[in-house]
Amino acid sequence: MRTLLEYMVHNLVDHPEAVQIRERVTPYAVSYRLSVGPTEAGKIIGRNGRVAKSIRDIMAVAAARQGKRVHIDIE
Amino acid sequence: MSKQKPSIEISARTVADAVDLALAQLGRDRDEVAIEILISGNDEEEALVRVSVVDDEPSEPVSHEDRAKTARHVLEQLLEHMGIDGFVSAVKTTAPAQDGGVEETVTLHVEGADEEAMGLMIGRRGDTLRSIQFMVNLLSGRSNRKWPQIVVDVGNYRQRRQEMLESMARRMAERVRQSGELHRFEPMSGADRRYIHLALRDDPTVFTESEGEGESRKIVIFPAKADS
Repeated sequence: MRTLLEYMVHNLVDHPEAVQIRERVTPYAVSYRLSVGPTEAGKIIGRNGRVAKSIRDIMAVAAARQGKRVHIDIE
Repeated sequence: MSKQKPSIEISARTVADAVDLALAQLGRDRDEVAIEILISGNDEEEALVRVSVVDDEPSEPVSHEDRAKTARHVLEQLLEHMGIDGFVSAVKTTAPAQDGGVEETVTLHVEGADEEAMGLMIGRRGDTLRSIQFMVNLLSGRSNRKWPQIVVDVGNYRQRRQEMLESMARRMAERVRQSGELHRFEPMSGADRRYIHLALRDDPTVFTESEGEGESRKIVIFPAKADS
């Protein structure tokens, strides 16, 4: 799941080296805290949060495959 | 993309001739190269220039085929990381465009044996499918916003949904016709609303309109004004 998140986020931003992902796994859920370079939050949020919604929807599929829920915080 | 940057040195009678020769050899246009004049040349001496390719990316926009290939690759990567076993095939369809030309659409069809996985990818009312399509477009054509959208479909969901909406539209139109009272649908996506508008466009007994904004935008079917 982490690789999926990395794949999307790294390709959305101009500075993948500034991306930080913290993962917390529990038996029923996985949560991520995601931070990107100072001027790049917009790229992973998008207009009306459209990009963030896509990321969450796609991550939810990956989580469901493992019988889990997923939560993503963008800092 | 920048593999190797070819650079050649060529001499000719004048600088202009040398540059022309170099460009012909590299198969490049003038705006793709940097030109250094090593010897400007005169009556005794030939001109010598070094021509180097500065931008190894093709100057023309990527072709439709390239875009489809990139998009397909992106989708395959997403599937793999999602833990979904699916086969992606790209289908190009053409339809007459509004401006009289031809509109090409590339649809990436995902097929897979695992029904549950396919259902997950579609999501409630195609919500997840829309997100996947959005992401595929975002990751495959960032620099090319002019390109028409790549459509992503799972197990022919879009076509089945279209048929379902069209038959529902006709049923509801019938009800409006009989009762003379308007019918208001649940909120729907733009694509879904479009199928309903189109299905009833040629029906003289009713007319359709969308009302509300954003997420709550929905279609209303009105009975046509009694004029018979």
